[in-house]
Order: sequence, then C-alpha cells, then structure tokens
Amino acid sequence: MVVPKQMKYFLLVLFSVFMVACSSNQTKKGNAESDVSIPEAVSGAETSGLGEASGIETGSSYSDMSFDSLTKTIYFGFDRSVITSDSKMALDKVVAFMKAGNKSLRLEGHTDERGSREYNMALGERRGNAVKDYLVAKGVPSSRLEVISYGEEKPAVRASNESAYAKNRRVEIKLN
Amino acid sequence: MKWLLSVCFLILSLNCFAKLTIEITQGIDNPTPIAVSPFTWFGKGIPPENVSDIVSSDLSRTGMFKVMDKPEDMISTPDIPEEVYFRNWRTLKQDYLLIGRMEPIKGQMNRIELKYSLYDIYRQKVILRESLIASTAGLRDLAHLVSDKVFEKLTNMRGAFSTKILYVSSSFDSGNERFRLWVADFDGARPKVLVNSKEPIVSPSWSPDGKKVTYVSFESRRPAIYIQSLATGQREKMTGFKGLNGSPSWSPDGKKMAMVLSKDGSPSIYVMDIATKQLKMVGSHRFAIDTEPQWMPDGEHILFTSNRGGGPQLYKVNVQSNKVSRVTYDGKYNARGRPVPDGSGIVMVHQSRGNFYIARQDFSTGRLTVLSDTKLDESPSIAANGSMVMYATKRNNQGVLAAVSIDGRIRYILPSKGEDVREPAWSPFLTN
Repeated sequence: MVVPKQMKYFLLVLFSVFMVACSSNQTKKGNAESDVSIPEAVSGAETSGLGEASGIETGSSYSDMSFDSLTKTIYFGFDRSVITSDSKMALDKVVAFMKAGNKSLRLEGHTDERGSREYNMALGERRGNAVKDYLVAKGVPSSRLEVISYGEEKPAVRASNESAYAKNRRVEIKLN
Repeated sequence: MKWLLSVCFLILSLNCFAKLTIEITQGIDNPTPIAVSPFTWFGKGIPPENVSDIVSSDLSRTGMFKVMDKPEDMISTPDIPEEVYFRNWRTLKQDYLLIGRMEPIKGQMNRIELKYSLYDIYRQKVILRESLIASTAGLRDLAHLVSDKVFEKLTNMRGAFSTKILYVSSSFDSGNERFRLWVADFDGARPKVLVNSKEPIVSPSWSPDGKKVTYVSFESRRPAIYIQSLATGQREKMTGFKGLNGSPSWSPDGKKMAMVLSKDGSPSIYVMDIATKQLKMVGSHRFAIDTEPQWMPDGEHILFTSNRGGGPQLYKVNVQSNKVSRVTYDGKYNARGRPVPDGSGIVMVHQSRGNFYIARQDFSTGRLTVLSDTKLDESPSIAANGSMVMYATKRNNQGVLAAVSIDGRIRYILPSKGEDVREPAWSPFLTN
C-alpha cells in the first residue's frame, strides 16, 4: 500500500495521540533505547510510561535496484530447514549480488506458530543458518552474513491455517 | 474528512489495555457450596473495592466452590455473628458462610478495617475470624488475602490469589506493531505495562523473590536478555551475544540464571552467575537444539528441551556433574517443561495427532495426562501452590490466556479484549 508522506505523518500523530490517551495517568521515564519505554514502578499509583509511539521502519533497500530485483524470501516445508531447488536458483542470484559488491546481509529466520515458542526460536535460527551455509558454500564471506531468528514472533500472515503457515516458514533476506 | 473520522473512531474503539476477564469453562462435579454475604461498608459513598465480590470470584474460579453471592438468593444478609442463623443457611443447602464488614478507621486517612468470619454451617461454628487493616489502595490485595485464608481453611492448600502474572501482548495498529510486557494480578486485574517496544519481547519469567523479572527483548534488532526491577523499572542487559539469547530462568537461590545461547554453534544451555556474568555450558550436545532450560525445585537439575534424539523431548541435566537423562518418551513432540512445585512431575507442551496440548507427566507412575482441550496450546506456567497451570492458546484467531487445574478437571479462560496475549508467567508467592 502506498501512503502519501503527509498521510503517514498524520497517522503517526494520530497514533501518538492514541498512545498518550492510553497512558494519560502515567508519567514517562527517559530511556536510552529510543523505541523502548520502561515504566518507573509497579507498586504505586503514579507509575509507568508508555513511551515512543514512533514505529515507522526506516527503509534500507529502496534505493538499491539490484537488491530490489532479488527474491528476498525463502520458504521452507513443515519442520524443515532444507533449501529447495527453486530457492537455490534464487539464492544463486543473491550470491552474484554479494560478489558484485560489499554489502552485508541479515538473514531473518521465521517459523509458523505451531509448537513451543522458544523451540521455534531455535528452528528459525536453523533456517537462517541453512541459507547462510548455502551462500558461504558458494563463496560469500560469512563475515558479511548475520542470522537473526524471530521464531514465530513476526508472522508474515496472521492466521491459523495451512496456507498462512506455509508463508510464515521463511527466511527474509535484508540489507544489514 | 469522513475517513479521518472513521480512522479516529476505529483507533479509539480499540482497547488501550489488554484487559483480561475470567470465564469458567469447566468445573468439578460436586463443588462445595459456600455463601458469601455482601460485606457491609460503613464509610461514605460506595466502598473503594467490592471486597466480597472479589473473594467470591476468587473462590468461584478455582472450580472447587459453588458460590452463592446474590442477596436475592439469601434469606438474610448478616454482617455480624449475632445475625447468623444456621438453620437459614442449611435450608439454602450451604456448607459454609462468609460474612464481613468494612469500616474506615477514625482519625486515620484512607485506612480501613475489615472484619470477617467464616462459618461451618453443619458444625454450627466459626472456623476462621479475623480483623485486618489496609489502605484504600491496598483493599484489593486485602480481598485476595481473605480469599487465600478462606481457601486454605477449606482445602488445606495454600491459596495463590495474591500472586501475579506476567504476559506479553502484541497489537497491530496503523501498520505499527507494538509488543508489550505486562504485569497484572493473577486474575488479570490491575494490568501495568513493564516494557513497550516495536520489536518482539519473549520468555518473561520471575525472580524467586518476585521482585524482578527477566525477559528477552529484540529492541536492538537482535535478541538480548534483560533483568528488570519491578519496583523501580531499572534494568540491566545480561547478554547480547551473536545468535540466540533466550529462555532466561532463575535458579531457586536467585544467584544464577539458566539460558540458551548459540554463540558457540548449535543452541546450548548455559548457566550464568548473575553477579559476575560468568558462563558455564551444561549438558551440551554438538549438533542438537538444546533450549527452554528451567531450574528444577531441587536447584541441582535443569529441565530442558532437546532434539538430540530426533524430535524435541525433555531431558534433565545435573548442573554439577553435567550428567544428562531423558525425561519424556510419550509421543514425538514434548517441549517447554515446567516442574510441578512439589517435585512430583512436570507439565509441558505435548503434540498429539498434529495438535499441541498442555500435558502433565508424573514421575512416580511415568504416566502422561493431557490437560487442555484446545489445539494450539503453549507456554505452560504453574501457580505457586501447584493447583493450576496457566497457558496460552488461540480463540477465534486471537491469542488468549487460559488455565487448567493440575488434575485437568477445572478450566477457565481469560479472554483478552483487543490485543493478542501470550506467554503467561505465574509469580512465586509474594506474601508471607
């Protein structure tokens, strides 16, 4: 969806107002991490702070046309971290991209929602590592690849059915 | 402009808080009948908290009591011993009766005295009588304390009504995802935000003294383990290694923390000395996923999930000797074990016919019993008195918290209005 800049700003303001409305009885406490807020105490009445309402991601890759042209999501079977032959073709283009420049990549591993959350965190890492291992085997220096697992915390599709699960078992390739 | 208004309306109509209310889905066959006569308030206006209502809901949601609390169902509504006529309550088929009165203390601002008496109708005598004092703000805590005492008197089991829960919510508003870590009373009342972030927060758990919490936050776009004080909100970053930083679990003596790190290869269990941050790997296996460490009550063993035998199963490791033994054999998927406080067994996530349930395994018999009846159940956490297990499940495509008694006979759900909620962590006992 394309949202005009002013509209984005408006939504941001609106969201901030909403957040403030939610936290009107609370006082904000400064925190070093700008996107995280920690309320002050939980025992008194004068507590807490819902902090920053800003949640707009900074796009990192829009200007890089060659990165844009790559397939950036690799999908996996249920309980699998094996790279399919289709995915290998896509990853070979990533290899070419990496060899042509000196960019670094984040490989974000994800799972579907079934099973234990923390075990899924490990499965997501296993998928990220499968992609990393493939790229390294094709000559990409491992120092330019970082694997981060989000487990089931960031589904691409929010639904509890097979087609959603298939879209959620994935590794997303991002510029680091 | 019209759509702007509708956006405003949409946003305002979303609930600000992930508020939880309890709904009982299954109780036992013959719950004990108990009448709770409305506590009389001798102060001005309406009482700051409806204490008898709180006690009545506390007892109801254990599923062990059938509570009569509506004045229209009663013959009289006594609030002093002289007004209690046992015959009336026998006619109403009640086994027990709770009466009480609340009075502001003269000359003391915001201080309230609560006097209550619990009667055994058949033996025609008082079995518990107390006078308690609280501040106006502490009245809800006092109500839960009365529930604890009544429950203990009637069941010989310590009540867990004064405990709290942690849980995580996520919401997706205007394209912005928000993750929040909350602390609330065990019944979902008085929720407060502990952390608010646009990146995931996972694996919250309590320190053994209930004064601190630990969790994993992705706020720096990488997972890191934090410890945060509940009283001050002050926190310390404990880890931020390459790879997984997950599942922090405090040792019973409060000095160490078990966690999972993958900095040295495959995910492994580590024990950190909290004061020095020194790490020691335990029970490691070169290629397997080892995760979800949880200290056993003996302080000597750590229960964890490993796929070293193929699929995920529970194992335990002796922290000193490093000796590993397998705990679960039933089925292809058992994960996220939590020891029952009395050491008699564990609860876990158990897969059966493609669905995920909460199950209990007894150490004495080795038998596995499925406790929950929904199919995407996870993150079991046991009440300090061992009576109930809270867990996360899905209802109408939304994450909700539910609870089941340790014997599987009683169930209730805490539906959330608005946000997806998950990862409940039940506190230790917080009162003496």
